[in-house]
Amino acid sequence: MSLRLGIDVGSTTTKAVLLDANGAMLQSEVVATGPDGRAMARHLRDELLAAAGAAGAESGSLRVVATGYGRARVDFADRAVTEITCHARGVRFQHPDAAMVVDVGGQDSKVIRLDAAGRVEDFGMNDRCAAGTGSFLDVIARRFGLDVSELAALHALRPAPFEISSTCVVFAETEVVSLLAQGHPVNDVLAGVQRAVARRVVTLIKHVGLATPVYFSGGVAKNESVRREIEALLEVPFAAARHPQLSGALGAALLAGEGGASGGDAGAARWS
Amino acid sequence: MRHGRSNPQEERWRARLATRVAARTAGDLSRAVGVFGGYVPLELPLALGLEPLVLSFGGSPQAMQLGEKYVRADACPFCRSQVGVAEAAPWLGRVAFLAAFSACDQENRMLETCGRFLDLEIQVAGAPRTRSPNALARYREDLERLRCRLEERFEAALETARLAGAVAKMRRLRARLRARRADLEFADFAELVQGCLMLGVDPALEFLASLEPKAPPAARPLRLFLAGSCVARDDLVFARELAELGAEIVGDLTRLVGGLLACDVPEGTSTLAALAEAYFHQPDMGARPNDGYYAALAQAVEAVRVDGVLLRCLKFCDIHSGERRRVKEALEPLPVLFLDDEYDAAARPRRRTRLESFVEMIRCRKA
Repeated sequence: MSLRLGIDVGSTTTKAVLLDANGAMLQSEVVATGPDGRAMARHLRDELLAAAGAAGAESGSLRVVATGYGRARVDFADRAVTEITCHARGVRFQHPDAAMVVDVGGQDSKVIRLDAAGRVEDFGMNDRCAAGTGSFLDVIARRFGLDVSELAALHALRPAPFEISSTCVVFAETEVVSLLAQGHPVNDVLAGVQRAVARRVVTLIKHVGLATPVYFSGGVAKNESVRREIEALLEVPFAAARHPQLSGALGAALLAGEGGASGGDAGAARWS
Repeated sequence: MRHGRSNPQEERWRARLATRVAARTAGDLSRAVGVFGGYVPLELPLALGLEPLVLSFGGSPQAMQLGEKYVRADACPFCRSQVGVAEAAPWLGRVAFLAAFSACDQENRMLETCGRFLDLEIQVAGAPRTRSPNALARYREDLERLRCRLEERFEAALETARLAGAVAKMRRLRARLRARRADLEFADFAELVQGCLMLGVDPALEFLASLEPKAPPAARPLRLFLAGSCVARDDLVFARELAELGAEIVGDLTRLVGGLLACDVPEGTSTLAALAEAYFHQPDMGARPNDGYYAALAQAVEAVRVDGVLLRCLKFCDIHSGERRRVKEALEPLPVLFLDDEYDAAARPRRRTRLESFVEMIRCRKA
């Protein structure tokens, strides 16, 4: 059996998608990357192959593409492809009408504009500052003793009543402390934090040039309030991809079945 | 660590050039004039019997950290590392004079810092900010002041015949350097240009004449053009990374490489006013309006037929980063990567992802 494995080693989580030769999904998994991305990638590969009943499929019949921040550390991959190409490929596969992909992960945010054939036409990435990324939310959540996944629910999806500095996570954290000291409700402060992330992402979108339909990918896409804030600022529908956290790994798995870093849609069955 | 293709012949000339630069800086610098910025005409000190040495160093994380002793840590990496090198390189303190035109406030502070802590005799003027007749007149006055100061300091006098001779010599040097462009990859070419301009003009001409003929490097699949912030001597890792990815920078318009060679003064120029005119009209992103820069960029890009353009801006370099949108528009439909860069090693993985993504994008388009 011919298999394709895509592994996306991110700064926070490692994602893997296993497809059969027709592009049908056999297995997928998301785990925390931990301190050793290489070991985690190996562990995921073994786990997914075992779960698919193909534990011995490593040689010959298995093609592997690695992507993400730790892609170079996946020493068993046939090749490494950047997150830009993989997210574009993965989201376009899930949503054939996608003209733009916004991927906000733990450490990076990326805006990718696609041409009519689904190829990357232009892209932008955030600079080294953590503002506008999942790390920003993570730092603030920890300040409140929360898990980042709890943020969206806490402020009950209401619009932010004020803004928090979106330029620097360190300044933002100081500002949060100051706002709490002034007696502002926690939910309002959290809403402001999420508005700040949204504003930063929207700035990046403007640099690249908005194209619609635009889809939200990456771990932060699961945060409904950030998605709504971005949608409100963009004033266009901004839907999360069907499997936002797996888009990069899916794109990598699709590319594993192809020769180059092509962004076209041909040759793979629908995946849902 | 060096990346990309290198062969024994290239290693030989590189080693010889490094040896000569080291010998030059260890030697007598009593008539050496350090030159900083694109608006100091190299022909002027040359015509006064002095040796212009183009200061192109800096660009490493180590130099940047050294510089933080004098300038704030969020100053632009280029300025910080220039100050760092100035402190680490004792020869710079022995240069007889430093002539500079600064393009921004941070460069001003960097130069003042060098002057103050190295006890250098220094003249700093602001690079022209507009293309108005008044700006040209001010630039002429600045050059006139520089001439007077150099004449007084070195007991020399500017003569028209000697200026015409210096112009001819610099034209020869620029032409000989340009002639080597096709033989070398960008990083090697940058090393050659910057090394030669640290030797002084006559030794540089002699060095270039001594180079053996060399077959051009095998063409890489992707051809790129480089624009944006200046490329300092230790700041070539990004170019070697691109080479590893199968892309080659075949042309550039940056201050310390292609920009230095683009500013050719017309043959026969023999007055300071005419010299000023030639340097004043060089393509400069910082001068307003900067349509001339865009015209020169479009022309240079067209001349080398590339697959994409890399607009590389050092962090906090407002001159180039503020115009990324316009650069993209000016070069459409060519893909343009805006690369926000710094010397810090921690930024390398992020830069690598951008470069790789750009290369993947262009490959995909070409396919």
